[in-house]
Amino acid sequence: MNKIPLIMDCDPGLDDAIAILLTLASPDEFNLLGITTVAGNGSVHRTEENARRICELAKRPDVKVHKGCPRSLLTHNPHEHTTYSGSDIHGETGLGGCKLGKPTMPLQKQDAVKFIIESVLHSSEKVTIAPTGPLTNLACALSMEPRIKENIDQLVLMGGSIGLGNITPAAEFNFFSDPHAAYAVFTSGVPIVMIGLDTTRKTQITPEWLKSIADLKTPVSQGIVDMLSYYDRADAILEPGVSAGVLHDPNVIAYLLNPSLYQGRDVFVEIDVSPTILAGRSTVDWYNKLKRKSNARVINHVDAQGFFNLLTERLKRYDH
Amino acid sequence: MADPRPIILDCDPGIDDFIAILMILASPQHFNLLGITVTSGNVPVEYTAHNALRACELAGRNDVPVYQGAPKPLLREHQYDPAVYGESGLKGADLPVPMRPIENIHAVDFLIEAILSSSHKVTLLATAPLTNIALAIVREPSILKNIEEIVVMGGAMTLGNITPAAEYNFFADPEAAHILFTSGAKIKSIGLEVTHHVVTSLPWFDELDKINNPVSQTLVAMLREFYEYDMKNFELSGGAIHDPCVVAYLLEPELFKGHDVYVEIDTSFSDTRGRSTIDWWGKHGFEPNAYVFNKVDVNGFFKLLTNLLRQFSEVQP
Repeated sequence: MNKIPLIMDCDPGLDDAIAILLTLASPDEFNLLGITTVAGNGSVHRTEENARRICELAKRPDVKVHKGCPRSLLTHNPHEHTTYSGSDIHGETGLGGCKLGKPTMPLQKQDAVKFIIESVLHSSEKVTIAPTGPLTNLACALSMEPRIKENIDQLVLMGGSIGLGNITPAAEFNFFSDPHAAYAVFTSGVPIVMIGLDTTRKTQITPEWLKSIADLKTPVSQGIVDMLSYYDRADAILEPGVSAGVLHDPNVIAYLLNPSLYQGRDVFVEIDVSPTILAGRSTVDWYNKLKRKSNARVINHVDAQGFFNLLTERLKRYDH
Repeated sequence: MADPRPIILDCDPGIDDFIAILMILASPQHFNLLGITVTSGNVPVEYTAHNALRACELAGRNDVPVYQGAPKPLLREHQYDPAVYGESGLKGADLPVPMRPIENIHAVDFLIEAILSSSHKVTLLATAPLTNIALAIVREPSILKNIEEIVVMGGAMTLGNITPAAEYNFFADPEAAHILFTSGAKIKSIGLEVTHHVVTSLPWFDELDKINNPVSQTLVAMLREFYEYDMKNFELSGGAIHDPCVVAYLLEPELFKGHDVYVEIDTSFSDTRGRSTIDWWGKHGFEPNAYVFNKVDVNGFFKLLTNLLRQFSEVQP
């Protein structure tokens, strides 16, 4: 099988960190062109540092990490405000109880938007992009150089929700953080697979699973346990009904590794960009009421046991 | 006299942008033009890039770099309006295909690099949809620290020109305009209240005919072609030349008057999309985010423009 040329566009973030580890444990399936980071779960400085930390944990200091946009396209008006801080969920560092020091591997000079444009335009095969943060970098790249669309195979992204949001009643965090960027991506015509909260809420960490990872007794498994032990408390802040940490972002990589774990439907999705309490909501026309052309495959089901089996099997590959 | 101020012109020529470029090139003692960046406007970005090159060529200034920018706005597809300045964007001009290519650097990358590396704060002149400048701000907000001010042609306090609510530049990319007006940059904004007074007239064309250099000949041919468009569409007494007001303001600020006000750009997907709501009377009580002009000395403007065009009598293109 040909390897998938892949760009991860993320904001680590605990669950992004697991997604990166899953990718790096799967070198037969992925040709990871680079990791681009964006402000989201933390500042972009924090998220690019965390991406490098995770690469170092995986003993992959060769991975190209690019820093992206430090802000969303539009910002709230001066007379509006939000009270959310990413550190509420992912801890002060963005990686929970992670004990990893400052990274020493280099940050690439080229910024994320330029890297996405250049690497997609110059790739001999169509590139897959896996966004697990706000979509600001992609929206900028699509506006600056729309020709990249022709050489993107698909975007498999974590974001949105058919039902309830998590950061607001209406919206999931990634889309809420930059609704306009999400709107630009969903109207771009690029093939999209959207894995939202309806799916990711089904992949909650259990104490038994976390113990099985701890029992691997490798530096990587210890790193994961340090991170996720914090996360255990985290989602409870966003969603009081959720008792354990939810592994949102690794679903994107798991989908690429084994799409048969997932079910969904080709539908029309519109992102709300109004400056109201609906901002960032993804309206998913599941029953095709509007008779519009579908612009995304929206996933609504995952085989959670299969997901965790895959994740465990891959994480066991780290012998360090 | 002070050193020439470093400037970048972000434009979409267009007849009126074309004139703005020539005014800058006629004023080397005032302006250090670092480069011209272009975006899509009434015509596609490939055309606006060509037209910027043509303006430089006509002025004998092939040393000025031209950078092609975003072909489309941040969110939606671009809306062209070739009826205004013709399919080429320069209806009435008979100019050859430019001799040199555009630079091999994207306009947004150039804006970021040029502003960050300038030893003096850079002034931006914005006479197009604001996509390039917005993208530069989102990717690298630290450029704001090295921007002296941004002088914008755009918006309207009352009626729009592309819709009843909105002026063309803001309408073409309202999200980009919103990003600019919430950026904290020092903004001076010249809208239709000013530019709809700056209209051409037959006696002024006669005056340009007398100058009779290659630049004035080209301009008068285009402006005669465009003379009736605004009469028919907007009940003006001639063709409005919007974008040159930005250059005129920097050369002779006393020609223009206005207020510090709070401006908000409508980014809704409704009939008011792209409208600039200008709180002239401070009803909201919000901190002003722009200096908006509402008056211009029209005679003074045309005197300045005519004098600048005389500069080109020495040039051999």
